[in-house]
Amino acid sequence: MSRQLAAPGWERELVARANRDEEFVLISRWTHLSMRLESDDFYGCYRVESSVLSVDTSPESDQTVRLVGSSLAWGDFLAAVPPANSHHFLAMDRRRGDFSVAAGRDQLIQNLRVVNALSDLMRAALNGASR
Amino acid sequence: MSTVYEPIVGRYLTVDVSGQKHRIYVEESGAGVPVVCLHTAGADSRQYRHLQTDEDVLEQFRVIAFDLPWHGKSLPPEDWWTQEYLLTSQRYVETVLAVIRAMELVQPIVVGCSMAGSLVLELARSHSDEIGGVIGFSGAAKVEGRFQDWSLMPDVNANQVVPSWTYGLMAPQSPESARREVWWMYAQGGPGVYRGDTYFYSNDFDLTGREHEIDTDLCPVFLYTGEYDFACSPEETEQTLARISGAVGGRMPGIGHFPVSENYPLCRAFLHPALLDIAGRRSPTDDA
Repeated sequence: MSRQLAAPGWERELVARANRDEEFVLISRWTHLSMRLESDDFYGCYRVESSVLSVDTSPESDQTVRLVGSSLAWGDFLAAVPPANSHHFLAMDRRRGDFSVAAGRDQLIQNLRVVNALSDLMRAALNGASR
Repeated sequence: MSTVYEPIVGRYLTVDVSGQKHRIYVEESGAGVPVVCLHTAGADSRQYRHLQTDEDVLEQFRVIAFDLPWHGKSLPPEDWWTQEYLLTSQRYVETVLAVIRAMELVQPIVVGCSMAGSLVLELARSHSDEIGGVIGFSGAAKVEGRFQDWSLMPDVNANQVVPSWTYGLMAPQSPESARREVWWMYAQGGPGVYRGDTYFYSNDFDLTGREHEIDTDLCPVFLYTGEYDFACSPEETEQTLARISGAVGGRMPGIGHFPVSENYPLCRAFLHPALLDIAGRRSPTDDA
């Protein structure tokens, strides 16, 4: 299990931070994106809909971005200062064998600006830092 | 009121490339040994604004940066709307040499980043009689995987996605304002231009097996890549260096794909000594 993705309170903190983050709210006004983060026996699903991030309870669709990685990969990605080749989903997809964009690559590309902001928020929520 | 101007001044010149006129925007500052700076794929010469305002550098070097055709303030050629923009090695070399010759630069040092970090290797190989030395960042004999069609797809907003695509190539610990500036410049590229540049970077250019043709006695080579660069990895750069006798460089810790613009103070620790080294090897006739 990914200790970071399953950290108590992390999900709640991520949602709260995103929904009060000025940049995230601004750039996601016309976003309709579902993301599923998977690691070993844990997964979390999130929805960005018109400037609001929420935990996604709807069934997975063929539009869902699925990011699948080992616990080690997620741990590296979520570090306060991630190591090289683990600082971005596309870096891990290209240079690590234990992480992949398993589905929804087109949706990931289309929404990359929002995904980048969300990545920073994920780290900030876990490490208690501002972004 | 006393206005403080930066030392950079800009002007336009026209050069002939492959039989077509091209209006080129050139900025320069400083005086001394000429240094020609080449921007990255899909960007423009603003990336060198920190180098071009570095007073220590400007005391000894004339730092020139220009926008390639289709980039920044350099317009595309006539009838651009009838052709697909795909940069080739031949056209790229021809363009850079046309500007160097038009400005009557003698044995300039050429600095390039990303696709231009690879191009400088070709300049060193094929035009050591005209180039005084090269310094490349984020380049190698072969860099794969950057040419993609999605930036021209109708359901992709390239104005936001291209800069967000390149944003991830930077080190997260580089100053945020600098990373955001790189993003902003990338947001201003024309449709298909980043794609056309990466055609050169990842498809057309392949120096593999010919690296040994570079004579670093004639044209010194410095080549560096940041550890956070996942487009051109430090390992790919190190492999290229190992095949060029006398070439200097390697991995830059704590920085990504855009060293000159994403973290100039850190980049400077590599760039300025390289400039001084090459300048120290120049013959007196070069600067007569």
